[in-house]
Amino acid sequence: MSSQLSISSQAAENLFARLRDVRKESLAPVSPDASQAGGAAKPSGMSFFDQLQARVAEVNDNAKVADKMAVDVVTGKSENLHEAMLAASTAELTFNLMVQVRNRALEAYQEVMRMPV
Amino acid sequence: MSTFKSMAISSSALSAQRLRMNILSTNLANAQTTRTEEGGPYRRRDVVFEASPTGNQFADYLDGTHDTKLSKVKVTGIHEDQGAPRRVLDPSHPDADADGYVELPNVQVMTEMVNMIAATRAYEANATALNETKQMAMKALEIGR
Repeated sequence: MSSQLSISSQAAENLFARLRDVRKESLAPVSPDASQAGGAAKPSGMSFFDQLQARVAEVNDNAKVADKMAVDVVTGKSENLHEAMLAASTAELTFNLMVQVRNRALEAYQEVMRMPV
Repeated sequence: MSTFKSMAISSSALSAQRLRMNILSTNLANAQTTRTEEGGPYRRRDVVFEASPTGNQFADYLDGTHDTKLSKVKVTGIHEDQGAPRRVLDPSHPDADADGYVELPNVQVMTEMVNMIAATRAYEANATALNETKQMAMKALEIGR
């Protein structure tokens, strides 16, 4: 009956915890095989620049969303003035974060280039 | 990211207060209305707010980022004030009853004005909270500059 169908919140929490573990395992970088320890173990997962590129695309998406919402408000399609402003703020924040990351990466590169050989 | 979560919470409050303002405007606009679709004079309306959990999406559970202590606000209902209508003697009015009394809405203009001030202030407070959250994030970006 219904007691068999219903799932207690504790059981649901356990289920989610298990799902989380499985997901973490699937996302974790595969450790290099012990037998190939001598060889050049190529790190798996996304490289720094792949990551950076994905984030830049995300920042661009945020800006596009903010743009569209602003257009919708001024053309009368939407009344969510504060949500448009919020999207603009989000786009600004994420853009600033991206610029800061870029500055740090560039600084690190220049530091290396200045290194006397 | 919790910065954006905090902004989303403030945003939900802004939406709720804007809806409340719409309802208050409706009350003021219909302060003298004697005819409605349901018959009888207009009845004053008010909003009911309810705390609704934020981040209850499946992906949040999967990431373990759901937080039951954070909650947005949402308008769960608009209820009608069942108080008795005001009875005013005006025999020339087309909606007057046999005794010459007209039933006017139970809207108190003073109360509505005060509620409107409260709604405006609440909106301002939440807009300020949103700006402060943004300021915090901007300050964090200045670390180590």
